[in-house]
Amino acid sequence: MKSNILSSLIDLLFPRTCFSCNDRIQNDIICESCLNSLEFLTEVCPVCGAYDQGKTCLICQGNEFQFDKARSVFQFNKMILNLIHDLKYDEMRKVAILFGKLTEDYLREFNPFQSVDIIAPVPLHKVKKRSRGFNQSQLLTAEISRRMNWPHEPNLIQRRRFTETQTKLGRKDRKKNVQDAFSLKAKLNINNKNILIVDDVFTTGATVNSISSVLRQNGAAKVFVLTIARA
Amino acid sequence: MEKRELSSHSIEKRKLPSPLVLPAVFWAIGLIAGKSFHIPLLYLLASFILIFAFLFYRKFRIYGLLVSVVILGIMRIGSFQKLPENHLKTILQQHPQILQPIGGTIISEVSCQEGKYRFELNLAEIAGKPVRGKILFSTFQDSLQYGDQIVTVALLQKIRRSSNPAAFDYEEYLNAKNIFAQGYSKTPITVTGKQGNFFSKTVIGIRTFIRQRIEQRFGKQAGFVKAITIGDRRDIDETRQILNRAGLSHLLAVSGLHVGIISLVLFIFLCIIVPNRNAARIILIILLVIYGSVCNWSPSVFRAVLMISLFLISQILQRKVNTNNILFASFLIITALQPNQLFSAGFQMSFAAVFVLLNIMPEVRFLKLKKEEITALTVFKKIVNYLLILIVSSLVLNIFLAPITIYHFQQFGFNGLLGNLLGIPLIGLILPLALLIIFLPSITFLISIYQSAFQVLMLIFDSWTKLVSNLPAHFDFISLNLFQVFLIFLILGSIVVFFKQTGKRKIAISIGIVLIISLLISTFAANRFQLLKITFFDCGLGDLCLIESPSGEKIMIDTGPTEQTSGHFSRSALPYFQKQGCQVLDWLIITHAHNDHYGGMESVFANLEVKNLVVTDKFQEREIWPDFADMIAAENCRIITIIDTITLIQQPFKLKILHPDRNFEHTNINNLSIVARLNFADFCALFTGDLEHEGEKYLLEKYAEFLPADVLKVGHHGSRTASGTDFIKKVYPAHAFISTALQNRFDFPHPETLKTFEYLENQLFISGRDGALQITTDGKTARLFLFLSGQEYIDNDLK
Repeated sequence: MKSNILSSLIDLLFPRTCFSCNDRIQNDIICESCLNSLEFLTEVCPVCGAYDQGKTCLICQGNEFQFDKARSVFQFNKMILNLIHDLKYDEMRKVAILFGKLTEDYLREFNPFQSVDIIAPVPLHKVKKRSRGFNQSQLLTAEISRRMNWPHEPNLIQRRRFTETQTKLGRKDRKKNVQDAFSLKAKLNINNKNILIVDDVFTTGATVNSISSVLRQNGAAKVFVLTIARA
Repeated sequence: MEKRELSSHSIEKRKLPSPLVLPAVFWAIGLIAGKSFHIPLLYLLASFILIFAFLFYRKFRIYGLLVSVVILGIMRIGSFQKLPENHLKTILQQHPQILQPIGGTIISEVSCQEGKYRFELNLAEIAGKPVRGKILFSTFQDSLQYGDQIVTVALLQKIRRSSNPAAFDYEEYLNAKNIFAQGYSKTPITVTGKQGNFFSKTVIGIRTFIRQRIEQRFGKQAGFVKAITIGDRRDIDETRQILNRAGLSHLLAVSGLHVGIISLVLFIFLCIIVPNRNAARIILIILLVIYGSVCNWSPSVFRAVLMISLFLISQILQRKVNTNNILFASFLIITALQPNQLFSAGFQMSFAAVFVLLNIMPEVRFLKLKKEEITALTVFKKIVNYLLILIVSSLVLNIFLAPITIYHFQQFGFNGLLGNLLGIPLIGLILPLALLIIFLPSITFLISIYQSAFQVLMLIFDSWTKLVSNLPAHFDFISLNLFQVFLIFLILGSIVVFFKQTGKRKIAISIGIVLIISLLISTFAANRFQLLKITFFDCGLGDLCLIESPSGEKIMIDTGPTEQTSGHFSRSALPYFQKQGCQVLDWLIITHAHNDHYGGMESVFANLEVKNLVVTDKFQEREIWPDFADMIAAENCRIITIIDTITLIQQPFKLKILHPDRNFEHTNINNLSIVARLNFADFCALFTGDLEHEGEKYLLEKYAEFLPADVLKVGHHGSRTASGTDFIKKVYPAHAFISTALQNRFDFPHPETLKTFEYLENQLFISGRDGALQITTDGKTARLFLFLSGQEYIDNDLK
């Protein structure tokens, strides 16, 4: 009874709301109707995971990418954008739990990466991580590794230099921006291992591509990429 | 692809819910109702039960809840919060003065002013009997501290109400803090023990430490730094006025802005040393609570600390919140703890400002730049954008806060529009720098570097504020009553509706026009004078009287005592002028050259525009006259020298100067006082200055037919050297006013005088006992009103 009164008082001060539509809800992170409106991204290019009616897309036909397979859980839209912003900029860590659960559903349904030996996040630069307080991709990998039982290696990759944020750059500049930005940190043998890199958004793939080439040079067997949203 | 986008775009983002707004509004209504009307407890309980029944009907549940919130509000502030029998307030109702041995605990910091130590004392006993209640205590004894349990013989007095119209009400101010009496020790104080909690002790320790550091390290600017860091505004009277005129007074108090700056600096610092964000947030909340206590929880600090803490908690709980909900939550918390805060200017301005920033500012269209658009701007455009936002916000804030500042302080202005442009960024630098200097360890050379940086910033700040304060957009002596304030807010509201809801424009316009018309009518009606008003102010030992004619002319007779006294013009009568919105004095009559009559002249000339100064030729022969002559010349004021009997004003009432007569010679300048006779239809009043027996005799011989009066300002503060029995028999007033403080070095009023006026019974008023007296008359009847007691007398039988 006591805790009931306290929790309803807290609910009055800080009403629980759906992160997406701001409707009042009882628990959870987003409301039912918002959850139902989400659809997994299907009929994608088998390599890079872009929506292309299931055919290999033009970019991948040119062998652009260093990774073997990339998949995104959702097509990028306003709702996903807002959720990612809540996670990244407003430190709503609950969103990572939601995404983890949805990603698990996605992986169980489509099973795109047959076997994963190591799951690792795209790293933030030390300074940026300090100022943001956390790495949103690491929150995601922690959640996915727990649910999928994949070994988590949060410090596998590190950022060697401080790069400008990708969001303001064009395709070419993005590629240039992240070139040689990453290196392998952990003294871990990744020889013949299948590695899954996780990020929040896949736009041109420049970031994950740069990481993939580092992993490949160090003898990884297969490099997979998983992102929450596909721009 | 298209289908997918459609389905996801159909989800609209609504406004975040703020469930506390309505309850807070109804709570406030309850508090206001409880304060204004005395509603018996029985009715309240009955209606409460009735409403409780409503709660079982789903349909009416929400209304039932809201009405019960109103009733709770009434009960919170109502006078029937039953005080215990032995509460000091109850005791004081029977014995306004108590001289007894007392005991109690010091519950506040002991502050020192001019050798006098003051603190709040929680009473435990009077004359051995247990008593409850807080008092404000002062003593000349040092070495007392927070937490000391003390015993002494003390004089306890009820706090005196303001005795002058519109003047600052000390009683109300202290009552809001639950303090109902003042005490002075009559014997040495003995400390019998220690009591007090660790938290308050720490807070007082921190405050003392900060104050000492500031005094050591800031020299001349110490007063200013104390004001902006710990809200101690005792030493900054001059700066305060400049900043006030510059529209920047919000920078001088510890306001939400300051708490915001401090929180930001602290949070960045905490994030560097504490890896866990939530731990950093909790530490910040604790630090803010300590800081709030150091600042004595002034309304704006309380609000800001609460809002920031609630915001941090929402981040810990990971819930998105509507800032309005947080604002109204802190509104509810503060008014639940201290319901009287709702009526304080600081509280009202603090909440109104944040409310406007949250709710009105976003509606100002051209400011609706999105984040992405702002990041895309060039540096120059970013600065322009920032400046524009600042100007527009201060404009909107100034407009919406103007009714409040006018109501409380009779002034408003737009100098802040420019002032804030540099003022806010400067305070953003000055405040962190000041904190750095305060908390830096004693490394002389490091400190001196920061000190010089501080000096430079202060130099810029001072010259900027001086510059801005000289701009012409500051308006004072403006008066509004509560009804007009209400109307103005409604007008502002309909303007907002006009811009916000384009569908309701016609309604908004028509309602707005109706409101504006009623506002004009109410101001017009308030400015129409039909009655003659005479106000005798309580200025201590001195004379100060204001006559307001039916046509709006103002005549002041004497200006009260000098600057050092509590009855000085600026404290006793100036608030009335401000409240009346009156800045022009048509006639100033100085009866004679004694400083209990001309003492306030400098302040009068500094604050009001005096058109005519009426003085005797003898005054102009005094040594002090040249000082005034310069002041008068600068003001473009006409000097009228009285050398003989003359009629000063003919219409609509007659003001005749009877004395000093040309043929009357005397060495005592009291006897050369100007004696004025006011005649308005049947009503007649006589003002005799400090005239003594010799002068009275001369008047009896020469102007006997002009002496009979309804009201007499008794000569020479009730001295036995004036008010001769023959003279009083001739004047034979129905009401008399003696202008003097009660305890004074001349022992005015003298018993002989009181005897002479014995026949008047309760119609003899003494300013030191009865406070100010206001007489309103239409020439046929007169209404006498005492400000201290609220007593009213009607005189239908005028001469």
